[in-house]
Amino acid sequence: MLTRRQQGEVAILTIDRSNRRNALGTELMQALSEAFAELDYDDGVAAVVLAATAPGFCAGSDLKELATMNIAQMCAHEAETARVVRAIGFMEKPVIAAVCGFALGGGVGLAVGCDLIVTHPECRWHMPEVPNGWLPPWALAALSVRVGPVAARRLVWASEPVTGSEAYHLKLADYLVPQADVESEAIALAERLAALPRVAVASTKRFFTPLINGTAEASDMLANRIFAENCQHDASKATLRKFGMKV
Amino acid sequence: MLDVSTKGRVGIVSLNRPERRNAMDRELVAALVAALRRLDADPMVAAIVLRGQAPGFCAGSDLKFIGRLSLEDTCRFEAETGDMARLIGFLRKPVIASIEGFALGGGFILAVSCDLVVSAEDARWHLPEVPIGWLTPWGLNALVSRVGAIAARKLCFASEAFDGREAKRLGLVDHLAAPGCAEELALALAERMAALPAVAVAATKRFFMPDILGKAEVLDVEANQVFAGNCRHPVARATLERFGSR
Repeated sequence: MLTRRQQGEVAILTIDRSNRRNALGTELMQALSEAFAELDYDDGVAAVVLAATAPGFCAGSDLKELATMNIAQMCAHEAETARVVRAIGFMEKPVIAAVCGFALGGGVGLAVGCDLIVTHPECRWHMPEVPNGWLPPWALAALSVRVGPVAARRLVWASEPVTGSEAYHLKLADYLVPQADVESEAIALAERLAALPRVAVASTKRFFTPLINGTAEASDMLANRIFAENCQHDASKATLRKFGMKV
Repeated sequence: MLDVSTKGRVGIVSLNRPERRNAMDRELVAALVAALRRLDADPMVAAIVLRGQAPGFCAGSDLKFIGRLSLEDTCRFEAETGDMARLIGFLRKPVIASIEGFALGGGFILAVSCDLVVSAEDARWHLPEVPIGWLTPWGLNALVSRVGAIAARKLCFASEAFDGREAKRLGLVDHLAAPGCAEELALALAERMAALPAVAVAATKRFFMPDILGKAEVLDVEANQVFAGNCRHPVARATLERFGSR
């Protein structure tokens, strides 16, 4: 589900749910939440890398799990996912996402919740929510802070996947390296940060947190509410039924 | 610990730990979260009243409980309490605080985190945190939203207690009640809100939410870190040690 290994002062968390394309199920979110809290208090850790096993970084919501929920339960699940991802921004230590293969829907949200993002040119970045019939229920503030609100809106609307190269040009990702090097580059970056004075790294993160996480909670809460309303419409219901939900 | 009942279309949540002056420990905070979520989802409920069993509304964080925690865990508990208080603002339904007796420290902040505040004229309002050694670790955004940053800072500094009348003048309280009559007024107000079109009441709360709660989470995280730093200093340590802290 989620494994942790240590390389010097760098902790590497690896999402290991390849059978569900590393989707954000309830159990994984709980494991991530606990791992982040633990790492932030661990004096042996100075920086964190968030990686995932093949085939890709994260496919977003776990549709199989959502199929067992009603709309209210789904909204509560998405709100909790949003909370766990926002908490990354409130950790003292920098968290670096190593995004390989794909980042879809909530997978994009998880990546932009991290402080730094490494990806590769062919990586597939895609937000399929609007074609499904709804506004993404969280992460829109984090996306807007990275790429600006106009580009964020376009990404959410456009419904076309962007490549890692395009993501890099949009500043959706910070580093672009060959696919085989994504994780090692993320670790190297984490090691560079870990070698800096910890207090200064933590102070820098803290100083920018109000500017970056500024209104993220209120934004996520609002998006969740709008998402819930969108789910009542016919187009969304048809999608949800396709996922196996009884609506 | 926490009593939940309904009267007509009004949900009533009562802090019921009179032996600890309705102070909050982890169990009470978790119970509050569960009760608020449940009432918000209950189609039979249109407004919520939050009150305390006599002798008062709430005395804030239970220092006896906190005294048993490590500093890290204290900070985590205060963060959970802040999450609970912000949740009030994110609910669809209006939450009305009914203050009788006292609203102290975290109890003061919990009250002003509600959408509407009713206070008895003689209720005692006090933020004693700075005198005992630390910045209030959560909810200051709610205070700022009500009274502005300058007055909020003064309230945090000032350390003097005041009554419901002064709280009304400051904008902390929306409606004053005669001594002993806060609950009656809060219920009447809740019934009035419940009689309005629910969609329009929820839309109004939602419209103002980004302005009122926009920066609440970030400020809570910052206050929590400042609080953690304060707790390492001698005055705060002496306070915590009085309550048995390690």
